[in-house]
Amino acid sequence: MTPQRGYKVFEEWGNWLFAAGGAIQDEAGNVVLDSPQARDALAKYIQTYNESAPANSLNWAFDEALRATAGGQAAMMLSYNWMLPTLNNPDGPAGELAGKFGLAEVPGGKAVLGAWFWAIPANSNNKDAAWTFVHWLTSPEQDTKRVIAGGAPVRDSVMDDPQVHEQGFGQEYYATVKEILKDASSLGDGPGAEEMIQAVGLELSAAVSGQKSVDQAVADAAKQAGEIMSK
Amino acid sequence: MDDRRVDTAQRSFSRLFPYEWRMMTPLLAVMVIILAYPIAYSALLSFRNVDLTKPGRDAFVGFDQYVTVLKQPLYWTALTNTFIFVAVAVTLELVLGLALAVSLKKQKRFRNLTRAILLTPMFVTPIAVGLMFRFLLNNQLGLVPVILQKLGISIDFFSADLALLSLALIDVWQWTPFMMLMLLAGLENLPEEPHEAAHVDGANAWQTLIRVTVPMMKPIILVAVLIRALDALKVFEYVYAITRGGPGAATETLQFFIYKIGFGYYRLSEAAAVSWTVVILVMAVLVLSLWRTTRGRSA
Repeated sequence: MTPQRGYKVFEEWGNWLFAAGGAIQDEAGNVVLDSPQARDALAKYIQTYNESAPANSLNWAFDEALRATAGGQAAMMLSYNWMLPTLNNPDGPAGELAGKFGLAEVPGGKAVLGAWFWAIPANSNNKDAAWTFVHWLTSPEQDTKRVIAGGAPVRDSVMDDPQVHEQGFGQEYYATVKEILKDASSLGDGPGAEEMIQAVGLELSAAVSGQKSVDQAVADAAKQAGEIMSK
Repeated sequence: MDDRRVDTAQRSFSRLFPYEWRMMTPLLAVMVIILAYPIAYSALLSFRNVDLTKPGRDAFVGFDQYVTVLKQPLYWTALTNTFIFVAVAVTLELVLGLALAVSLKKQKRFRNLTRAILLTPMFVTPIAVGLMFRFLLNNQLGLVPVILQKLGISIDFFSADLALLSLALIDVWQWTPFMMLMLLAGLENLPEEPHEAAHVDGANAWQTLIRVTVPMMKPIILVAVLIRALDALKVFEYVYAITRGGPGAATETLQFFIYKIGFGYYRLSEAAAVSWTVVILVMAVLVLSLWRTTRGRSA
């Protein structure tokens, strides 16, 4: 697991939250984190950490989780889908274990989505040129090349493309990615998202490390998130 | 033009810009560009409302940023954590550094080799040291817990109670050599006579160290402690590489706090205000401690 404070713990716990039927923001963008579902999810997350994670791994992030899995010391990791090709690369960190890893949807049916965007600043002097570039980069031809090279797919058609399956990482991988993306949600929506993620990530970490009760941590996280997102 | 007028012009030029000042000009110019300007600019920023994600709101807001900062509980946690970190790290560095310096001074053979080896931690980039210890102290992947487990000991180095102490010990590993170097230089410049006199008077080695060596070393110790404390106050790399301020807020330090506000949330003015509270605090401590020693010396 990756219970490191900040992004890591929030990214991971988000899956428990979604599985419990909870949400971070509602359709209108209001923070709805203070819920029985969130408390249930945090209690279960802490239970999973105590019972299943490697001992003394409170500061673990993506690096440690990858190494533990690649080294055969962990059976599974909750991580980014694009880690699979790295784990299955015979020249990669997993060595002899390469080829034995598979990608699966996170239980609960809804996953946490991390996304990067192409944006054009409102005060840009070259809006048209920027648009042409984004347009070219996300076109089916370029997206196909990008996905084969390991980039994140943004088009259904590319994930269904036999050429991508063959030259990329196999049909099964793209089918699973497509399933995951069908129902996935980001951690925060709005200009205050970064700050909200850090604030909630701090509270979650305080609860996992036993500095705060589940109730207190969820209440504090929801209060701060609400204030930050309404700024 | 006749010679006399050129002479007068030159003389008044020299009087306005004496030789010393002219020689210092290049250095002064560099200092103004890389030190004075950014510092003055950050002071200016701290009284405004610059937020990169909300352009067009920039205005003079007086002490508002400072009030916002002082009202945040996390700021006070960061301040406390930083001071605990500095106190633990620098105290241990001083004790270990002094012990090393005293023993190195008595060493007869392989002096240079030993010193070179002992100084190596100082030459490693702090971020690399952070990453190194992140894995060295890792329960599953690291060497240290494996050795401890052989002895039947299990320590959670980055638990809520120990994380800050672990970071301070990493600082001790990296910077004790610096303390040792400073103190060794001081020790080697001490006159021999007081030590001989103490020996004649029948003082043992411990008494000589505490009653003779340390008092004579006071100015050097003060400078070494000040330099280390100021440096330790800037702790960022270990936090960033290992704990990101966690678990909870256990290792939230001032520099990490400033980094998050300035480069994470883009609130440059607020970050500048936090920085200036640190500057003011450090200045107060510096002035006080230097004033006390200079007063001690002139008395």
